[in-house]
Amino acid sequence: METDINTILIPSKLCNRAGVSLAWKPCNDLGIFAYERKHSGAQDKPSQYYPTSEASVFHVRQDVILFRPILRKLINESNGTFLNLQELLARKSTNTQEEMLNFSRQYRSIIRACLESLQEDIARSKSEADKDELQNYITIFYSIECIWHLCEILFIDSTPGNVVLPHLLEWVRFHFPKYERNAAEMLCENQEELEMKPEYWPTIIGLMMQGRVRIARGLLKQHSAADTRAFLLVDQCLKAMPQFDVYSGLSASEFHLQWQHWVMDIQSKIDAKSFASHKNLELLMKIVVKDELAWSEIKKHFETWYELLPAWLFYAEPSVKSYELGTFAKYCIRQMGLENKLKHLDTVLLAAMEYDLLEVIKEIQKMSENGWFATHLANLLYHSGQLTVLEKDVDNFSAKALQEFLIVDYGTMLMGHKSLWQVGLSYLDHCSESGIHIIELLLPRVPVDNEYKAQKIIREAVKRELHHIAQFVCKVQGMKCVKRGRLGSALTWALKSQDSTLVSLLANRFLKDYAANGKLRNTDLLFNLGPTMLSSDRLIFLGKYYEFHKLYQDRQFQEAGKLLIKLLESKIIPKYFWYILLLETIPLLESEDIIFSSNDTYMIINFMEENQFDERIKDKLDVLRLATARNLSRAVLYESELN
Amino acid sequence: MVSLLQSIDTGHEDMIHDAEVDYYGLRLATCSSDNSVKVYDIKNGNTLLDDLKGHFGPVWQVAWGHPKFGNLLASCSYDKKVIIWKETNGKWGKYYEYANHDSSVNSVQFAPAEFGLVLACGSSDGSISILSYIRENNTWDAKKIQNAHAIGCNAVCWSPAIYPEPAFDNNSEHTLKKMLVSGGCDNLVKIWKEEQDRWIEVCKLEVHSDWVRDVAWAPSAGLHRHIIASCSQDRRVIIWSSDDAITWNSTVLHTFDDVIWNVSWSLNGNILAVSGGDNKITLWKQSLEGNWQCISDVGKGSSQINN
Amino acid sequence: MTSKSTIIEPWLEEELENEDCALDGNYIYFLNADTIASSSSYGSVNVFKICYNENGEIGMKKGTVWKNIHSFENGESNLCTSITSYDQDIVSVGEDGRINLLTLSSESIVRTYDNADSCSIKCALFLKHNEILTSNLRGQLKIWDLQSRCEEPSSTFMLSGDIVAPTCLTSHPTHRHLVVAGDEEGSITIWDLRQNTYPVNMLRAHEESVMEIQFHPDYPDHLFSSSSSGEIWHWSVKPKLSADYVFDNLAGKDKNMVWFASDAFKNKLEVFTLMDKLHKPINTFDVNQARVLCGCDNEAIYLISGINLDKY
Repeated sequence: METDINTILIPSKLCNRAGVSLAWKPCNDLGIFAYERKHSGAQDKPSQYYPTSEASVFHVRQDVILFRPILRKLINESNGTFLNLQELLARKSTNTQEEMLNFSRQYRSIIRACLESLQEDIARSKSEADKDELQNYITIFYSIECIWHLCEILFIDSTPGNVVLPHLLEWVRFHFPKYERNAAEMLCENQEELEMKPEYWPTIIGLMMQGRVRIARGLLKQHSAADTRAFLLVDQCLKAMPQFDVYSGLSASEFHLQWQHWVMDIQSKIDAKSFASHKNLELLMKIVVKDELAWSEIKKHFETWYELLPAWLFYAEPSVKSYELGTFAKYCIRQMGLENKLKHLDTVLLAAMEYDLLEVIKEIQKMSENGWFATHLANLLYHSGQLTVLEKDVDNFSAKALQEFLIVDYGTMLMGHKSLWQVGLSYLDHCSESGIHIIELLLPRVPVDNEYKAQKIIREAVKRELHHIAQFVCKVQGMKCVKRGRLGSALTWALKSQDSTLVSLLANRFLKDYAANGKLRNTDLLFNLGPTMLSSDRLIFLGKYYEFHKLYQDRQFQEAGKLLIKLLESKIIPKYFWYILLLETIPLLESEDIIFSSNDTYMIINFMEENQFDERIKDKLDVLRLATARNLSRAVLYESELN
Repeated sequence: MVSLLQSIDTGHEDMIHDAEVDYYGLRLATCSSDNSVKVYDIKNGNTLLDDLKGHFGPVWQVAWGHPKFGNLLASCSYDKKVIIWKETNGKWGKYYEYANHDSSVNSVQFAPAEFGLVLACGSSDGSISILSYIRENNTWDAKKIQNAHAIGCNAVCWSPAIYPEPAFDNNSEHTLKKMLVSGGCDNLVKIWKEEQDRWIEVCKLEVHSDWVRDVAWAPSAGLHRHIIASCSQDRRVIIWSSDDAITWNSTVLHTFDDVIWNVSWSLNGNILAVSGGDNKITLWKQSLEGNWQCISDVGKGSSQINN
Repeated sequence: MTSKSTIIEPWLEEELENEDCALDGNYIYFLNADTIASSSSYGSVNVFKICYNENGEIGMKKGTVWKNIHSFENGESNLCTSITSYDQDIVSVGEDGRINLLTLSSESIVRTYDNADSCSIKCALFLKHNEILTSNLRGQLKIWDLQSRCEEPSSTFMLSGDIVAPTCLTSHPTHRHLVVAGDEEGSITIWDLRQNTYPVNMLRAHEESVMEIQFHPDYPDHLFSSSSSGEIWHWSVKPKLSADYVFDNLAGKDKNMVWFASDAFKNKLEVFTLMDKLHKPINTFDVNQARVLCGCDNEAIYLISGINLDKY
């Protein structure tokens, strides 16, 4: 087993004595309880732990720092960027490096904004525990920012000719901004005798280390001795420093010659003790010519090896190629004496400089920000083509599978959150094969708090053509409404779910309610049922019966009578309801105008005689017989007159 | 990092044999040697919703029905009975009782909702029962697989509902095939399939060298590939995989220090939880390269919890 | 077609964790410039007053709370789905099919229609001081006379033949009889309630469900709509027509108002998107002067200022 697995202990003596088992809780939570497998053939007697008061279930969950409100903005905004990127990719097959770079920067600016709000919060927070927690997040996201930036330089923003130093200097300036900040402050103050400030010389050296030669010169000019010979000479030397620029048309070898020449010139000036009057100036010039003693003296200025690296390269290997970075990185690590003291961030940065992308992704998965980083970076690198390149070198490696693997985990995690499940969905949408099936498994399990939420879930299901899930949610809503005594809503949801059984069940409830109370309730719902009525025979009957009622109320007896006969003829009368229909014929049979023809009347008579032994009409049977007989005679007479 | 959120005191007087969370993760059902089944609201304050009494022996397992069929819970017991409970207006009552086994019923599980309201039960009498609800006449139909496992069946689990891949199956109807996996005291894992109203044995998987204690068919994330985990007295967990559910390849996940009692898959089937006699739960995940790795480990008691 | 001088300032929604006043984006309604009414998941309606502290930071002060005025007969908590107001009067409706009439000055309920609808009521809108319009899950719209003793609606009509639920209702600020509804399928339907209850116009607008619709309170030539696909649109009457409208209005012929024009209605409108399409539903928004405030499912509230309301 691997060594770096997480272990959590359950505080229960019973768990310790017996054993444990578990239950899964959506999405990835666990319920853990003391458990002992009994031999199923064993005697039925209490266990050795009986009686116990410790039969508890322990709810265990992965800590998700991303769910903290302060980090939710990061989730939501990066989701926007992620989706914009996928949309762009869907629109066009080829994408320029510039576009990818733009997205990479968007992600980084989101991280930056997050760091800033964390910093604001830490300043505001009052308790130590809060401060520690926030500081912990800052450390995590600072590392992420630093790694992302380096990856952007190495993998996304590759400049022609594998020239990498200018970007590296930019990177180091961004992450160690104190020199530029100090310089800016000092220059703004416009004070006399700047050199009296303790940070004056460290700032100049720092600026030189970050390749900010012009600013360093600016500061030197503020020195009260700036007009002395030594200072003027230094300024002259620094001004003459050759700059390597891939676009200048200068070849690498030509540049080298110039550089060598320049270094030799300075060396000769050092040898001639031209700077000896000023210890600091001499140190500066010795750094420029790579004097070993000078470098070991300034090593204390560097916080880390990767701060040293660009500085060293700037003076030792100004035309360094990107693929040589790993070697120099290791050199700097040795120089700082850190070979065996590399921290996680160091390992990742080194892996990136060695262009070991798989190692980078593997390592960043271990960071405790729940996969946010690995998911978004891998996706971006995949679409920049950087991951696919690896398929040639690594057996059985699929770049697409890797990035989808990460998205699945990230999306699944978000699906478990009460308000981020939609964000989770939008990630799972971008895992070609498994995504939609995971959505199928998880979407119907999103708890439905109210109709508003139900409608959201249904919308998400329909958008993905998961109609069975939409129907399922409607059905569960319908059943919930029944429990709440909201039959109208229940019927609406049942109709939406297209579950004819549930529709029939509800139509039965309405009809039985009428049979019991003699009053049709929820008539507002029966009004205008429209084509939805056709989803169940029972609902058709209910709808038609309601129509009959309305006609009767509106005193349109002819039409009401016709409808009643139609209903009697149809085979959709519920068993418990036919006698009501039969009784409803009485007033129509007895009405002044002849409503039922002789044929109609025969039908009513047949119907009545078939059911004459039924308890429910027993005492009305005589009335019915009389009414039908009277109507029959009237109808026959009338019909014969017509003929 | 994993952390303990809360504990729910179930108030059972004896060992809990099973705990299951409902479809939405809002309620918890537990069953115990004290013959009772309890239901808790775990969304609002872990309150006891009901205490279900009806069994006359230790209750081994509980299973929630799919919410599509209302609020149903099934339980099985040493008293040879299976009870299906139904909730109406907050109270649980007996909905159906099945007492056609000759010995303790060790395992119950509802089938995926696509198959309808169907329940499988495995018993110490060696047989497996499949109970199906017939909507038309509001009755339950029982089919029995006799002698599924000599000496006794310890666990049953349904396959996820997967429609056959169209490419392989162009002409035939796209009907769902009901399948089951079971494990028993004959050291075997068996796969069963319903074929024209009869249940037949598809295959018999022989690798374990002692009683098979639990089997779990992984939820399908749409890949037309079946994965089953089985665990045994022989201290091993085996992962079985197959493309057609007929021929299966086995991989030993790990040989543990003690007997393994339970295996279960997370909702989307990407994490397997294993627990057993060594008082530990380990979580396993398949890496991209296909290896199974232990990602987390939940251990026995002491009170070292950083909350 | 984004309007130019728009500034978008997103910030994370202030979370009020208090159980009684969870502002979870269910429903927020501006009663006036500095008072908000919001509905909570617990069947309550809360009033908040917006205030500024000495640093100019925005804050909210809790006002009147009507607790648990929507509930089901089995005691389950229930959501108040919509709030509408007219001066001091507030009406709340809910999934329980109930209509509550409230007034800002009192913590008790003025009047309740217990069984106003057999279905969940989704939206409510004041038409006049004594008349409200409600719509339900089934797509039925009902007009209620609040002064009548009758517990029945004075008229009922349908959004369409199918079960399509309106998701939002609004009326023209000066012509209250002009009612606009957005629905689940992204359409916008317009009625002139003076004439009859058949729609005068229907627009296939958004791709997905319309979440909110509002006329600009001061410039009713401008209509705003947001959708669950993350769009927020600004509809305005084309310049030339706008002039015509003013002219016609002077002549007292408001029938020619563009929202009523049935022929080639769409050609008379221009649509602007106020913000790049978000990837999550824009649940709600409100318009005030040249600003739109909207709440979105990405847990952010956006303030869009500099809305172009030029009369050309």
